This record gives sequence, structure tokens and C-alpha cells, in this order.
Amino acid sequence: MNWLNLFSAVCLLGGAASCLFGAIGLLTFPDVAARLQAATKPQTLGLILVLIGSAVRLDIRDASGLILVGLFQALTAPVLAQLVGRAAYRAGSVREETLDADDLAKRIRRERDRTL
Amino acid sequence: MGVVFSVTFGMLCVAGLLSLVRLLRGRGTLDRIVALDVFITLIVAATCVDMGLNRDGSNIALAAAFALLAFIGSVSAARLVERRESHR
Repeated sequence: MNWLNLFSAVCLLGGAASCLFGAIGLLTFPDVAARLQAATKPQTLGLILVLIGSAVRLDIRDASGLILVGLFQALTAPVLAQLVGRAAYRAGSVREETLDADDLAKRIRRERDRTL
Repeated sequence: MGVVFSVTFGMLCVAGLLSLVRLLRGRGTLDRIVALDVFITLIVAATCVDMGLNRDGSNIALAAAFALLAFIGSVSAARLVERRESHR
């Protein structure tokens, strides 16, 4: 039982620290794309670690619900990042000099040529 | 174990305050959308830590509903912003 408590403590502290680092990145990064990176990955990792740390202290029926919440967050965070990133690109808040390759510009140009 | 839960709640609260600062400061709508999504994720995490603290699983529906609402709200707001920008 002591080992379970230790595992739970490590998961809870690590997950909360990951969430905190994500929030610090959300404040300090310069543009929307970098902030999205800070908002999705550390937050999802931190939430899943916190869920594991809480699930080992519950019985199996409740723990299955926690697994469902974690799976849902892991599935929806990339979708949100994709949509917000594209909207930020169209709003012009992604700086061009930070990009290595720009595939969306070609596609937008092609669409514009088709409509003209 | 009580110390562990106190430190965990403290870190989650500081993270929530930082995301609220970004929500107030953010340059434009998209930053605020991202900050709100982070904030709701932190609410879900804190709800689950509370369940682990009390060894009581009755708040799972609350956590799942918050996760769903955060996803639907953020995605619809992002779609609105994108539509507004592409018609400019």
C-alpha cells in the first residue's frame, strides 16, 4: 500500500508541475503558435499524469471514468491546436520569419486563383 | 500524503492564475481562447485531484462534462474567428 501511495504522489506532483510549466510558457512565449504548443502538450501530459495519480486511489469502476476523461483530452487537444493555428495564420498573428516551411500559403494562393 | 495534495493544489492554482493573466492580457481573440481552454483543463485536473483526495468517484460526470464543453466552445470560437478573418 505504501508503494501505491508513493507512485500516486510522484504522478500527482509531476502532473501538476507539467501543468504549471505549460501555464508559464503560455505567459512567456511570443506568438500564438508557440503559446499553442505550450498550451496543448504540457497541459495534456499533466492532466493524464494527475488522472493516473488519482485513479490508483479509487476503485476500478471510478478509475475507468478517469481513463475516459484522459483519452478524450488526448483526442481533442490536437484538433483544437489545428483549428486555432489555422485561424491564427489567417489572422496574420503567426510571424513569417519563425516558419521553416509554409504549405498553407501555396494552398491559399491556389484557392484564390481558382476563384478569380 | 496531505502535503503532496496541498502542493499539487497549490501548483494547479498558480497555473490557473497565470492562464487568467494571459486571458486578461492576450493580444487578440485567439490568445484568449487558448488561455480559457488551459483554464478549463486545469479545472478538470483539480476536480480529479479532489476525487483522489477524498477517495470518492462521484464527480467524474462533472469532469467529463467540463472537458466536452471546453472542446466544443473552443472549436466553435476558433471557427468563428477564422471565418471572420478569411472574409477580410
